[in-house]
Amino acid sequence: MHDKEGIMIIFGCKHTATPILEEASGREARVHLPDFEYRELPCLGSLDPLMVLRALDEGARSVVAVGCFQGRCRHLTGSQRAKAALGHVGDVLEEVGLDRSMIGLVLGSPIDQRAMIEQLAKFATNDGGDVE
Amino acid sequence: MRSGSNLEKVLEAGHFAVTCELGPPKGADGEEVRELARLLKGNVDAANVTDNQTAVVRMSSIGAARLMLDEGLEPVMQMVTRDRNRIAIQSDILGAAAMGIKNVLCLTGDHQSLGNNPQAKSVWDIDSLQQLAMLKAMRDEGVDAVGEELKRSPEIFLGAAANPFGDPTSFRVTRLAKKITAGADFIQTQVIYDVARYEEWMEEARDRGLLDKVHVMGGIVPLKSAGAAKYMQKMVAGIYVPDEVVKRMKAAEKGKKEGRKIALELIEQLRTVKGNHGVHIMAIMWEKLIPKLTEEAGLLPRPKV
Amino acid sequence: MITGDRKPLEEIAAMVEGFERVLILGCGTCVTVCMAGGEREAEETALALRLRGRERGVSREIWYANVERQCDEEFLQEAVDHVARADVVVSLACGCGVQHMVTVFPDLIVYPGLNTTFMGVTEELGVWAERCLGCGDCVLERTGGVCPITRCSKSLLNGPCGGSADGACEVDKTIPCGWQLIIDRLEAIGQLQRLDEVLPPKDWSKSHSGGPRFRIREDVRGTDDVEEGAQ
Repeated sequence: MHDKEGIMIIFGCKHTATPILEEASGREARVHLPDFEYRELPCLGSLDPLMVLRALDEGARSVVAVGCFQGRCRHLTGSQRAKAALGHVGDVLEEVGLDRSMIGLVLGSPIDQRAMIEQLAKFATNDGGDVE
Repeated sequence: MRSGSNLEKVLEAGHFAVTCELGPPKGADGEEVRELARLLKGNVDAANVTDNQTAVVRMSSIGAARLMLDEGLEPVMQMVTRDRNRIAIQSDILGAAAMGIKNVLCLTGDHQSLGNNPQAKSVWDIDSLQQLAMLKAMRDEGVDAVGEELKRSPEIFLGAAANPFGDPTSFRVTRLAKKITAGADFIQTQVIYDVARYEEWMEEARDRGLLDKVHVMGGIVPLKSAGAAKYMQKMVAGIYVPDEVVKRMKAAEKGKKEGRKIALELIEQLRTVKGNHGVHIMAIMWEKLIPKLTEEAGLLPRPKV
Repeated sequence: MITGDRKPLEEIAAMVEGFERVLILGCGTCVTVCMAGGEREAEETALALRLRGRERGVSREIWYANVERQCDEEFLQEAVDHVARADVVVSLACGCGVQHMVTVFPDLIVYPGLNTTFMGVTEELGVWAERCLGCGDCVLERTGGVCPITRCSKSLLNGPCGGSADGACEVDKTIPCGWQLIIDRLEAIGQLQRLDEVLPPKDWSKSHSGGPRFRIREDVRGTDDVEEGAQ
């Protein structure tokens, strides 16, 4: 169950995160970011709190969700739902005395790869980021 | 006569009755009650003694009422249904009547979440209307809540509260009617600052033939400051304080003096409202005002009946 | 449905302290609908407790399972293999489920993972509200389908009290005054005259005040003795 020990697991929206982290620029992302595993979602709206907890249970050091900024989501409320889901996971983590900075949310646009990768790198080095 | 209480006699004789409030102390010092009773005696026909008002624990109204009797001040024992089931209510009434308490005001009581013991389990086995009906049957038919005969009926004058400004608007007068049907002999109203609106409520009650069956006494709360007026206006459910009153209090140099002046004006106006048979002055923590206010309002000496 | 809130995870963690094999058992009926103790919540609880244990270097087996209804023995029997393996079970059912677990598996240690709250409805997505206190003597036909026992904070039968203001209850401005709702409803259906009557005191002996209640249908039980011959 602990085979993801120490790595960062990224859940990403296929419209925004996949182009940055998997396709042409995926290599660049791997240069700038520590070891991570990418898991594609059709939209961040489908991010389930249980996915995040399971990822941590697999041994992930941190979990981050990457998607479109509010207003750009093709399914309209994906990033808001992801924020709510991560907020819930954060509450659960805090309840058992864990740091909610193990999880994070990075929102942006696929045409702004650099900024997205910078934010992810920042999250990774801080060993977590903030869910607003 | 249903009880032969002084309040009943004053009202039945057609005098303009005066009652006030006495808040029992948060402690077991009976002298505090006695002192207040001596201060108020002769200035009012009877004084309400509150029952754990705002759900804050204080000396019981039944105990304080007995102390008042000792000092010659007639009590109107308030009894809320929040803390007692029907067994305790009946038993306390029999005890109170045996000790010479002759006036009882039936109330629902503030919710315990507003008081100092929000963890308490509420009772509300019966509501204030059912309480009125139960006590009326005890007095008039000599039976308890299940119809069993009492060896001696409690001779009590039954009161209820009413709010001429309460919500829901359409239900205000019906609620009064129900209290009268249930058994209220007298009504003490929520505080009145707008006599015109009070008159409208009274008129509707009169049109429905309610006022022949009951003595209504208008409620007065003398204001101490503009802050108090604003607080009541904004924070206290069911109290209507017109903006003009707040403005007057704000403009006044001395709040207490203006509050007293407003109270005097209101008493004067209430004397002219048809069907209004008295005033109930609520000046808790400001009881000292009562002798002065009643004097200035020309309400003294109180009638001997 | 019956609703509940999961107990704080630290409280659950403290309950199972010292047990080696911990089963978190969800219930698939009411508490699933109100998202308090269904399969998802059971998994979440197990995951959270596992993460907590790992952080503290405690190794123990924590897993979850779910049954359709913990208040029925036939469904509880489906969990028998899980139960046999567990040193302790944290039941995420309502109090009925927890107690039924103890009855059906008398040797088992079962702890409650929920604080059972009320019987209610889903008002909107993510919002549940109390509607019934199970008083045993329904009066909804007199009050326009709005329960005075449940929705008035004081359970008044002849309300409202003086604390009703702008449609809100004196306990909290976010609670609608039950009696305002009743009056509005009766007005809407043309039955306002119902309120002219003073309703008599309630017979609380039909409620829990009369002691724990049972409900028996002899026809379903079918255990009466039968004699030979025509009945």
